[in-house]
Amino acid sequence: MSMTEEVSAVAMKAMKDHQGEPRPVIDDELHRRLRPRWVRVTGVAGLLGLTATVVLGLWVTPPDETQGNLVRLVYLHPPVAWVALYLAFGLAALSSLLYLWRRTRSLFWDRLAAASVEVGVVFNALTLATGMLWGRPTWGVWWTWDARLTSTALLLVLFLGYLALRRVPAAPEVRARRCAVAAIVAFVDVPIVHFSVVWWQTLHQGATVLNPDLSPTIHGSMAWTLLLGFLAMTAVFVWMVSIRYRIETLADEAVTRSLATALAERWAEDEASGTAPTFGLGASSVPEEVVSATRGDPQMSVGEIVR
Amino acid sequence: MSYIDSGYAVCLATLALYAVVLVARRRRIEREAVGERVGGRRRWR
Repeated sequence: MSMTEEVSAVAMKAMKDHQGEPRPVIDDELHRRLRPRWVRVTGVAGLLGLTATVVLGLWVTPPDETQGNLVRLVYLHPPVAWVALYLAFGLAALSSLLYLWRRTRSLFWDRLAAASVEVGVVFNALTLATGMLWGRPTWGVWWTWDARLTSTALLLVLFLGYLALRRVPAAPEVRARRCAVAAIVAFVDVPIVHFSVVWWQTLHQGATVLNPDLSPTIHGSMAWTLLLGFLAMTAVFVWMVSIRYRIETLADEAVTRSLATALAERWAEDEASGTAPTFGLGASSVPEEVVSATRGDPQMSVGEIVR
Repeated sequence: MSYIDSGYAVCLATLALYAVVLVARRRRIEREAVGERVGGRRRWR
């Protein structure tokens, strides 16, 4: 068993009490900090906004002169794409940059990036799905290797790779660093997606709102419904990211704190029995720095201990 | 079912499903790591 596996096993064991029941590792203070009131408000706003968008989009707004009723899919597709490309992956790239920059380095940014990417991948998949359902009756095909479509599909694959990379076992700081680099590399595809309809002759239409002239080509109730769709999806995104961030933080803190407790307990046991701490590895396998690092510092991170 | 209905159904159902999964995951980790208060007393599962 490797050193990392050994400390993980000790941490898992420490999360159970003597009856094998889970025991608390997160205090009330952290728990309260992770549950701000505005999260619930954002969730309710997102739900109401989405309901209004659906009602307006399906029953109130008129059919388009050229697209007919298919324009109703436009009230969903661009807002979903806006969340995936600009909000989710933009936030992930910005958080990753702030993590890599020494002055702002904190696991907060890493967790925020992870939360943002997972939500972004869901929205990216929805962008492709709603786009295909609009493209089939409009273009006659479900899919074509158009520059906009291909670069958007590539974006999904890149950020799925990011999520896979997060599952590779490593100390939190090592994982955070490599994932931050991956997020920034993957984000390079976002401007390519955005400008693909300008740079190449594509089947996909140009931007309706964020076009080069910044003059929206949609007006009246259709424009207001589209704007409401953007706001509603943004609220839903903020709510989802905050919930996902809470999950990420609780999971990380649970392992870190229980590991520190377990190591301190093991140290106390070994010290009481007059032997050097071995953590089940044999005395010669444990580096002196690890032994000294676990003394009297229950807030030490897993990465610091394992490293 | 038209393409429009399918688009709305796919989008809203996916978002609803993901939201439910997120809340379930959050509740599970909170139960395991934080414990929950039941009737004014804290219990761990």
